[in-house]
Amino acid sequence: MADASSHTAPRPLIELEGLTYAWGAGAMPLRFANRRIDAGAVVRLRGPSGSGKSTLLALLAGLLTPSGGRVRVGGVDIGALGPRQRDAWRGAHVGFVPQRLHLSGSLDVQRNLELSYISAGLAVDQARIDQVLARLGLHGLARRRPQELSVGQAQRVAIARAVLRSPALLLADEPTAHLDDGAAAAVLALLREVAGDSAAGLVVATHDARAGAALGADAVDIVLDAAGAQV
Amino acid sequence: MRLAALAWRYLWARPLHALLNLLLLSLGLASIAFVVLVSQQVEHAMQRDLASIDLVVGAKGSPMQLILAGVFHLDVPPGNIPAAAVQTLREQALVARAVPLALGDSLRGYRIVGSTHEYFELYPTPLREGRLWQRPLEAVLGAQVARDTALRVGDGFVGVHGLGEGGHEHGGMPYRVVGVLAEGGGVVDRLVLTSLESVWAVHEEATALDDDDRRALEAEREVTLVLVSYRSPLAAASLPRWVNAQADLQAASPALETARLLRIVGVGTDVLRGFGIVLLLAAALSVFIALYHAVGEREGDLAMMRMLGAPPRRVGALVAAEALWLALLGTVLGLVLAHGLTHVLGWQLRADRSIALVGWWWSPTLAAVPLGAVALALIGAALPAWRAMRLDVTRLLQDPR
Repeated sequence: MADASSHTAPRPLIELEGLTYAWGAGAMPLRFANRRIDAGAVVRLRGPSGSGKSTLLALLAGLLTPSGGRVRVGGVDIGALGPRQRDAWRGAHVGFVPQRLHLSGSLDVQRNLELSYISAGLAVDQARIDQVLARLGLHGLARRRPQELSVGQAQRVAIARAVLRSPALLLADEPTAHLDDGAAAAVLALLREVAGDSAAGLVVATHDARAGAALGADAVDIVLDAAGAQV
Repeated sequence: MRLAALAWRYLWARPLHALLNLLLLSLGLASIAFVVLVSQQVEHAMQRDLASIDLVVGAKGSPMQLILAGVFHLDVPPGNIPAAAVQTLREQALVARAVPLALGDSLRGYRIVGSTHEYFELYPTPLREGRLWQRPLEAVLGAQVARDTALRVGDGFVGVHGLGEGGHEHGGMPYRVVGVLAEGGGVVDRLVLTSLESVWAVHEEATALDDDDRRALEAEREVTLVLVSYRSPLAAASLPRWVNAQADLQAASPALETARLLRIVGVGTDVLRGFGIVLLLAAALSVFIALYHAVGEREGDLAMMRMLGAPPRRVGALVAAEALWLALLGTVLGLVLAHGLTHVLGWQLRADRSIALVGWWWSPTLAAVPLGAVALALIGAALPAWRAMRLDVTRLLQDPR
């Protein structure tokens, strides 16, 4: 990540400048307002379905290239990176908890976590895996397959995988969908905790009204309307 | 866990598909390898046993039968020829060497071959123990004969009439073992060698009714065939024609007859090779179908790998690695199966006193097996790997279903 350029202002983690994205030629582009989010901040990304929450997450993760404008994370202009650089950057600096979790049913918990390292072509850091498993209360479940876990346990494994390499930015896409109130609050609190452990910024895309309290009063809101614009 | 280990786990996550693909691949590779192992060993054995024999002269009949009986000792000879023909042949200017063979008896299925010491000029084979025969009814055993019969120098045995088992024993004329040859892997290993006089004596003793009859038999002595070496390649143009012009004689060219035999056998090997190729094509198709479906089933896993920093080529390599595991396992199983089958066939042929085949034989041609397996696996994996590399990661990770 780039160094902070100022001693007085907090280092920005995310900067959006005239950012637009169009899903295909001729499609109406989503336009995102200019924003600057400080490092370590918690962001609640809200808006109705189709407003561009997931698109913005994909742009922040470097999975999509902006159609216009700029998105910087930790000072790095994601759109300016080549495909290989973007893959390497994403693996090193971004953690992601997808809505469906996407844990491999062919692999046990330990192997699912090892995927974080194998995907990036790195040697497995077993000490770090043990540390994260213990931190998320998953010790003893390493040899279980995802289908042998409860929904809550599986959600924690997905969070463990996302934070394993201590990312600077942790993204979560609708993490409370299909969860009851108690479980939803617990997941959001856990996300906030683990992001705080490594001083990572946290962006949670949700249309769940329950997310407000659970993410804390200091959470920053980005609310998108149906065209992606911030309201 | 490296990429290869991950591919291994994914491979066995669908054990039925993996086993089916492995079976097809292994059987295809085994068929091809088996053909290579057998055909090359047979060809090698035939070339070796042909030694420097340019022509086989025997009784009128099938020339191939003459070669099979006289050179490879696999068939019965068409008949006998007068012993005087040996001298006649030796007197020909184009003949460098004429080695007579007298066949007719056997020891536990191994042929007793009456000849001269010149036979060892064709097949130079050192003695493991003892010496060559000096007198009638002294015999030298090939290494395989000595091993299977457990006879040693000084032991005696009686020959059985005929070239198979079950003939009547020449009990009144026992042989004595005076030498055992070292193992050479050729036809000599499975022969009992003795002098021409021994074979004549045994048969005259068995068939003569009285002394007059014996004298008559001695006057009409025969040999089974003569192994001829040319003094000059020019002999190939004229000598066979001269031999065939004689009333009782027939010439057979080992090179021509062996080539003809290998062509006939080659039809069978072509069929087996074709069968192997069909199996391999089926295996490649099966690998393709299995991997294509696997990528479809695992696209969420693969998208997650991309999210975790894997470039497209690493995701494609994971799919290819799965196919390469199949290739590796298929190669190992295919080669083990092929060598095992060849070993069993060799054991059967040995029991039949036929050409020696061994299971643990290596030929550079067999290097084509792993190369072919890798090529097929990569062909089968190419499209699935391409599909994996081009997954729409964003769509897959956002899909709420």
